[in-house]
Amino acid sequence: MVAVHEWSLAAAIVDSVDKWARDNNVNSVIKVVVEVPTIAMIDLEVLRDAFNMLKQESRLANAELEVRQVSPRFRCRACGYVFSEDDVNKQLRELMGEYGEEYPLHLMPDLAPTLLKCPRCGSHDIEMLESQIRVTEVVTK
Amino acid sequence: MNLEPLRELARDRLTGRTVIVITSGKGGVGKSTIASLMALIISRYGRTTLVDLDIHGTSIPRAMGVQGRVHEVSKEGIEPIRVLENLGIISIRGIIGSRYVVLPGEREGSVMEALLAFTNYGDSRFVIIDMPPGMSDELLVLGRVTNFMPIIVTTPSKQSLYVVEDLIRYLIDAKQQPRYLIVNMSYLQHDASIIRPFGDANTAYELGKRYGLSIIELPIDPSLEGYIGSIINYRGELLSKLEQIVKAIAEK
Repeated sequence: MVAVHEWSLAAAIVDSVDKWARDNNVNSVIKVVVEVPTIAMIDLEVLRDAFNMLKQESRLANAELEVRQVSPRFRCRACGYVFSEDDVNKQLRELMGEYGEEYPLHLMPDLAPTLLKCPRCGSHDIEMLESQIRVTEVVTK
Repeated sequence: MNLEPLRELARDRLTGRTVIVITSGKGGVGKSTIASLMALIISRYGRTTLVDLDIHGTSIPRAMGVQGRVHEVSKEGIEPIRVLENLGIISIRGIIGSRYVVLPGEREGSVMEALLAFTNYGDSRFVIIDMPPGMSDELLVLGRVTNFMPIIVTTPSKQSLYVVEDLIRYLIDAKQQPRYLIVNMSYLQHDASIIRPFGDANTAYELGKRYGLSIIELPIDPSLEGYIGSIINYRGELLSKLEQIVKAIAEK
């Protein structure tokens, strides 16, 4: 996967935290903690580089980025089966094989329910937690 | 911590552009055709991005003949597929390929938000959004990220108009006053006579008067079907009828 989408994610982090800082009269953010879903296969090094580049002109100029990768949890609404990423690993690998560079969950992990099936009953009616990039903590000076 | 990274990015990237939303409470009234034609016209006035937000029933790529094409992604975001020098299109098809899209409700909004946030609009002056049928997440998601100009599409059928009236009332409540009501498939010209398959457009005119919307009646043009896949070459009557709205918006 060519890691360029990470730049948009970094822009989203910088934009939202900078706006939050301005709204709350915070002059300097020193740390931002984000969670990214593992199924998005985000290149953390590129994300960090992009963050460090984009933060320059903002109230995050002195901020470090901490990224936690979170494995989504799933629940099938059709049969009630609760499952994890490991249970759909084979399906995820097949998707990566099918799409190659254009693996859709890289751009939009929220598409998982239409691309995956419940490993027990085959339904797409899948509830998913931790599916999107989230800012979980902002440390200020 | 209640931060919304994608929402903020979408808001940022849409700021300073004229966002025109083609919407209807009803399905099958011609939103995608009208969105495509309006995008073609408005791109004469400035760079335009046409976003297909109908993630379950994507129609724009097929109308434009680019189904099967995949979006490239750059540091600036998802790159629109250029169909004209001044017109690019964005759709979920260009991300998920030919697979069907069936998503639980709670995922729809975030997919739409992601599409709006990650698009590289570049120097587009205009963004046209083709909406899904109904009144759901798409309206709420858009309301969070931009002040848009809604253009409502209906047929003359009362079945459609009743639903559309709800949409108009909602938009007025949400302070997104619509200015135009397009009455599509209004009549059919056959030799010298005019046939109105869904009855007259009086109810539509009444609605327009009640809520302050200009009415534009569009004919059924049987030749249009032949342009699915090459709609950029269409030069028929719908185009000239839509030019008046586009001119008023673009020259404002």
